[in-house]
Amino acid sequence: MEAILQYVLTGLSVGSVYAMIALGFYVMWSAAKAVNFTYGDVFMLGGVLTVVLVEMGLPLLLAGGGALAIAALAGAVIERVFVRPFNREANAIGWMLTTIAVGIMLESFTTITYGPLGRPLQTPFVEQPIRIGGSGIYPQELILPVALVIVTFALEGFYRRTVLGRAMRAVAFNRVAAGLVGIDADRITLLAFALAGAIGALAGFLIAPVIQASSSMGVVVGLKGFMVAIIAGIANARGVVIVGVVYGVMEKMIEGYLSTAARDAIGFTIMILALLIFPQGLFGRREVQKV
Amino acid sequence: MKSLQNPPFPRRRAGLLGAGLLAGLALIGLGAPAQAQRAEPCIGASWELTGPLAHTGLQIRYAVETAIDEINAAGGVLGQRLRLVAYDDQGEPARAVDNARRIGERDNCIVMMGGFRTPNAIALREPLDEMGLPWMGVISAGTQVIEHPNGRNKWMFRVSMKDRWVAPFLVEAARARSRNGRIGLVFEGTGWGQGAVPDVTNAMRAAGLTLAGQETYNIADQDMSAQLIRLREANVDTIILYGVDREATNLVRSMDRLGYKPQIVSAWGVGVQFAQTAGPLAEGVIVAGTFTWMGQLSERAQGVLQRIQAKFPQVRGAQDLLLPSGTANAYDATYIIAETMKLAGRIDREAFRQALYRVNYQGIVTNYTPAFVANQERHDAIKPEAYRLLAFHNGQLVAIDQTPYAQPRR
Amino acid sequence: MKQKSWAGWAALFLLAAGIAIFPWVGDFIGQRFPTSYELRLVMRAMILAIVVIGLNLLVGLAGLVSLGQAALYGLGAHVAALLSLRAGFSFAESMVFAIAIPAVMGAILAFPTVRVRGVYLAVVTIAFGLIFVNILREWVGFTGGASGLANLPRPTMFGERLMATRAQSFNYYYLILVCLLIAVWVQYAIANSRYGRAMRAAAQSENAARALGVNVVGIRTLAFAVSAGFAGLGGGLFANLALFVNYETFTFTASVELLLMVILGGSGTMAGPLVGTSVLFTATQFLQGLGQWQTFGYGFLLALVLFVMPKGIVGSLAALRARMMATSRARETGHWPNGEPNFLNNQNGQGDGTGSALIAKGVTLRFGGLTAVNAVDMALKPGTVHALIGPNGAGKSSLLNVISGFYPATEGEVTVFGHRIKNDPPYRLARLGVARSFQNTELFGQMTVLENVLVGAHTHFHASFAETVLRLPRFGREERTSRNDALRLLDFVGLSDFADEEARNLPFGHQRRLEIARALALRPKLLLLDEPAAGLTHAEIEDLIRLIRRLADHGMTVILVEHHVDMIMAVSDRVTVLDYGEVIAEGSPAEIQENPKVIEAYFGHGAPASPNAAQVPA
Repeated sequence: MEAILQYVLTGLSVGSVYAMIALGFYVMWSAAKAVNFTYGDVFMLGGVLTVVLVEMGLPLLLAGGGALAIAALAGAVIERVFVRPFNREANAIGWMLTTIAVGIMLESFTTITYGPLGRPLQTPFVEQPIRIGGSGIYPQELILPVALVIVTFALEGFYRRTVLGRAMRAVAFNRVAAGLVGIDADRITLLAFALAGAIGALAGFLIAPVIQASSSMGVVVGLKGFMVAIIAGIANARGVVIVGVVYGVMEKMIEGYLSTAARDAIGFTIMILALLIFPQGLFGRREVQKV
Repeated sequence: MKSLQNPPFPRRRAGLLGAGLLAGLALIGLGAPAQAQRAEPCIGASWELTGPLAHTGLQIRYAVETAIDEINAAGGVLGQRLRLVAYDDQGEPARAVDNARRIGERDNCIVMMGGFRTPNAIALREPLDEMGLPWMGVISAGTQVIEHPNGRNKWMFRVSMKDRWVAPFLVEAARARSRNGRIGLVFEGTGWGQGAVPDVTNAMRAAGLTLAGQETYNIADQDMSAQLIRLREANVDTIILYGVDREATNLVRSMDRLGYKPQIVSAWGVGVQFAQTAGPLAEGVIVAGTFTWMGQLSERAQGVLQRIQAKFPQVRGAQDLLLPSGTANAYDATYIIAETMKLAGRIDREAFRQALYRVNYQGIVTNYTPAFVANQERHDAIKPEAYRLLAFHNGQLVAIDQTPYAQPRR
Repeated sequence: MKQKSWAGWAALFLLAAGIAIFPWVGDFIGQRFPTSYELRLVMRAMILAIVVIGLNLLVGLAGLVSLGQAALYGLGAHVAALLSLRAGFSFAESMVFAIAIPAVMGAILAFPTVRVRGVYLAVVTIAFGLIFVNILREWVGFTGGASGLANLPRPTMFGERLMATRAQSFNYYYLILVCLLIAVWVQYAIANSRYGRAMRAAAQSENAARALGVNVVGIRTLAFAVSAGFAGLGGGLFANLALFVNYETFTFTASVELLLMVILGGSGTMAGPLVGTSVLFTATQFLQGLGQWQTFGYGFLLALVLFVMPKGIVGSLAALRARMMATSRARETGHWPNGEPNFLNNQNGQGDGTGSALIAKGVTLRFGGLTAVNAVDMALKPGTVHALIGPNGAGKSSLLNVISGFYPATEGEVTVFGHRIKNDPPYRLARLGVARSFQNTELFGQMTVLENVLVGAHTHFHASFAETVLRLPRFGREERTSRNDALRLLDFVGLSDFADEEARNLPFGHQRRLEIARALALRPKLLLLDEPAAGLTHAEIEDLIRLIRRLADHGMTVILVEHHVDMIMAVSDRVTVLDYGEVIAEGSPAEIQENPKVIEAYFGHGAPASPNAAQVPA
C-alpha cells in the first residue's frame, strides 16, 4: 500500500514535468504547426540559468524569474531564426532539423561553460521530505502538480479571456483567416514560442532542486514530453496535461510492478499501441478525411 | 547474397568494378608494407570531451598534461619531448575505434590512453591487437577490458581498479558494516554496471553470502523509489553501488524520501561532485578508490596538486578534481609510460610492451614494482592491496580513517 | 534531360573509380597513405551512405520521416553478429538475414502509416528506436547487454578472409564499395520506375494517388521495407567491419544524424545521400580539432548549411543550376482536345449485360447525424455523359466519393460494370476502370507534367519489383509504351510542350487539363469529373465540352458534377438533380430545365450557385 502511494506521489511529480513540457509543445504546435524539437533544452535552461543566477548572488525567486525571462527570449529567438524560415511550406520538416541544430549548440555550450555535471539548487522545500508511513515526498515535488494545474487554467483563461490569447486561438484555428481579420500571425507565433519557453523553463526551475540542474537534464524529458503531447492529440491542452500526468504515474507503476530496466520499452510500446488505436491521439479530434 | 553476385550494372560500370575488384584482389597478395616499427613519442588519447560525461576526459587531461610538463621539464624521454594528442569519442565504441586507428596509424603514437567506457575498451581489443598498439586505461574498471575471454591480452594495460578485485573489497566492506548480513546490489544499466554483476555475485559467494536484492536503473533516471522499496522489503541494510555522481544523488534523494537509510558502499564511479549535489545526504557514503586529493596528502601529492592548480586555474583546489582516483591513476600512468620508454631505450611499441613488464616506479597511488607482469591478470598495475576505502564526511571525500566511519558501525 | 543524366553517371563513375583507387594513392605519391585509419573512415562512410540511401527512399520519395532508422541499422548489425557468433552462420548467410529481418521489421513499422502520418509517424519511429535500444541494453543474456557482442569471427567469402586494414589486406573495402554501388543502383532503379513515382505521388497527394490505382499502404510498406533492408545491409557490413556491436552506435542520436545526412545532402535527390554522408561524416573528423567545442561546431555547421542551402547541398545546387540554365523560352500551349482519343482503347458499350455502366441502389451516406446522401438510385448507360447537379451542399461530391470508393456507403449498394463495390478502396476501383478528377485539383505538384500522367498509368505496369530493379526487358517495354502513351495524352490535351515542367508551375487552366490527362492515362471506362470547368475561361469550357463529348463518343462513360448550366446542356445525355442528398429529378437536360422542383430547389435556396445557373428557368 505504501509502495503504491509512493509511486503515485513520485509519478505525479514526474508526470507533471512531462505534462508541462507537453503543454509547451501544445502551445508551439497550435501557433505554428511546428515545434522546437529540442524544447528539452529550454527546460534545461530554466534549471541551469536559475543555478547560475543564484550563484551570482540573486535571491531564488528573482533568479527563477530571470531564468524564465531568458528562456522566453530564447524561445522567441528560436522561433524567429530557426523555425519561421523553415516552416513556409505545408509538411515542411526543415524546422525539425534546424531546431535540432540549435539544441545541439545550446546543450554543448552549456556543457562547456557550466560543466557536464549537475549542480544543486537549494530551496527550503527539498530539505526535509514529508513522510507518510514508509513513503515520502519533498514539498518541492508537490509544488509541481499544483503549478501544473495553475499553468493549465491560466493558459486556458489566457486563451479565452485576453485579446492576445484569442488571437493565438484564431491563428491556431486558421492562420490565413486570422491574417485577413488583421491579426499579425507571425508576431503571435513568436509570442507563443516565448510563452512556451517560459512554461518549459518553469518546469526546469521547479524540478531542478530535486534532480539537480545539468546540461543534459532536458534530453530525455524533452523527448518524452513530445511523445506525450502527440499521444494526447496535440490540439487539446487538457488532454495533453492528463496524458502527461498519467504517463508519469504509469512509469512508476511499471518500475514498481514490472521492471525498472525495461520501463521505457514497456512505456513506449503502450504509446505506440495507443497511437494505433487512436491515430489522432487520445484526445485529438478525429479529422474527417477530406477529398 | 544473390544480388551481390549478380550486380545489375550497366556494362560500363560493371567493367570498372571488375577492374577495381581484380586490382584489389591481385594486390592483396603483395600485401601492404610491414607496419612501421618506430613510433612517435606521443600519448594518443580517446576520451570524452563532449556530452554528459565530458568531465571524464577533461579531468584526466589535467593530470596527464601536468605529468607530461614535469617529465619534459626534466628532459623528456630519450631526448625527445613527450606529447599528448587527444580526441573525443563521445563514449561511442565506433568512434573510439576511429580514434584508435588515427592514433595508431596516422599519429603513430607509442601508446594509447582511453576509450574509457567499458564497451569502448572492449571494442578496442581487436584493433589494438591488429595494430600492435599498447593501451593504457586509467579510470575504467571493467574486468573484461583486461581479462579477455581468449586469455590472450597482449596490448591492453591499466593503472586503475579491476572489478573482479574490487568486488571482494566492496563485499568485505559491506559485510563488515551490515548488521543483518543482507546486502543488495544496485548497478547502472551500462557496460560497467552490468559487467560488475558476475564479479559481485562471485565475490559474495566466495564470502559465503548471497545477494539479498539486485536492482538496476537507467542513466538519467531521476527516481529510484521502486528499486529501494524492493530492497527495503528484502530487508537490505547495505547497498553495493555501481553508479556515478548524478544517479547516486538521485538514489540518496529517493532514500531520503522513503526514510530508508541503508549504508552505501560504492565502486569508484561516485566522485567529488556528489558531495555538492547530494549535500548532507552524502554524509557517510563509502567509496572504494585508489586515491583522494582531500584530507592529509603526502608532500609529493601536495606538490602535484599545486602544479595542477598552477597549470589549470579553473582547478581551485581538491574539490575541483572531480575524479580523485582517476586523476591520480592518470598521473601515475603517464609517468609509467615515460619510464617504460626510457627503459625500452627506443621508441618502439614492442620494446615498450616488453619494458612494461620490467618497469618500476614509485607513484602517488602506490609503488609499482614492477608495474605489470606478463600474464593478463596482472596487466592491472594497481593491486588490490592498494585499494582504499574513502568516505564522504563534511562535504569532503577523504580516506575513511580520517572519518567516523572507519570502524564498522555495529 | 539526357545530358543531365549522362553527367550524373559520369560523376558516379568518377566517384567509384576514386574510391577504388584511393587505397593505392600512397604508391603513386610515395607516402604512407592512406593508413588503416583513412581506409576505415572511407569504409564507415560508405556503410553509412548505404543506410542513408535507404532512408532517402523513405523520406525523399515516400515522404515518410523516420527517426528510428538507426534501430533498423542496429537490427541488421545485431542479426549479423548474433548469427555468426551464436549460430555459426557464414558471412553470406548471416548477411541475407541481416537484410531480410530488418526489411520485415520495416514492413511492420509501415503498418502505422495506415493510420498515422507526419509527426505522429515520427513519434512511432522514435518510440520504436528507443524500445530497440532499451531491449539491446537490458537483454544481457542475448545481446550482451550494454557491453555488446564482441569477438565476432572474421568474415570469409568464397574461401577468402575479408580483411579491412592496411597491414593485412582490405578486400572488405571493395566488398563495401560493391554494396554501395548496388545501393546507388537500386535507388536509381526504384526512383525511375512506377514504384518511385507512386511513392512520390502518395507523398504529394495521397487522395489523387489512391484514385489513380496506387495502393498507398502497399507502396509505403514497400518503401519502409526497402529502406529497412538497406539499413540492415549497412548494419551487417558494419558488424563485420567492427567485429563488435553494442547499442551505443544505434541510438536516437544516430537516427537524427542519419536524417540530417539525408536532408543535408538533399532529400529525394539521387546524389544527396552520398554528398550528405561524406560531408557530415568528414566534418566529425575535422571538428576533432575543436576539442570540447566540436559538438557546438557540429550544430553550428548544421545550422549554417541549412540556412545557406535549405534544400540540401545537392537540392540547392540543382535549383541554382536550373535557375541559371532556365531559358525564358515561351512554352506553347496546344489545342485541346487535339485529335481522337483512339489510343485510349476503350471497349465500346461494355457493361454488366443489363447495359449499365453503373447502378446505384438506395445509396445512403451519413456522417454522424448528418445525412449527406439519402437513398439515391441511379443507372448509367455506357458511353453516356451523366450530369449530377444541385445546389451547394446537395451531396454531389459525396456521391462521387462513394462511387470512387473514398467513402464507403452507409447503406445501399453500388455496382460498377457488374462488380458490386462494398468496402473496396479507391485503388481497387481504379483498377476496375474508374478514374476521377478532384474539385480542387490534386496534382503531384513537385513531379513533372509527364510524371503526373505516368502515375495515371500506374495500373498498367506489370513488371515486378525484381524485374524493375534488375531492369529486365519487360520493365523497359512497359516503360517505353507508357511514356509514348503519356506523350500522346499530353498531345491530346495540348500540353506536350510542358512535359518536363513541374506541375505546380502550370497555370490553373493547364492544371485542369493535366488532371484530366492523368485520369485518362488510367484508360478508364468510367470517368468522374468533379467541377472540371470551375475556374476555366469561356473558351476553355468550350474545349472541355468537346473533349468530354469525344470521350463519350469513344465509349467512355462520364459522370459530371457541374454548375455551369450551358455546359451541362451542351454535353450531357442525362441529368440527375440532387437536393439535400436526395434525387429530386432525373431526365434529359431539356426535361430538367422544365422541372418546377428543380427551379424551386435552386431559387428556394437563395442566390443561384453560379452566374450561369440564372439561365436554368429560362
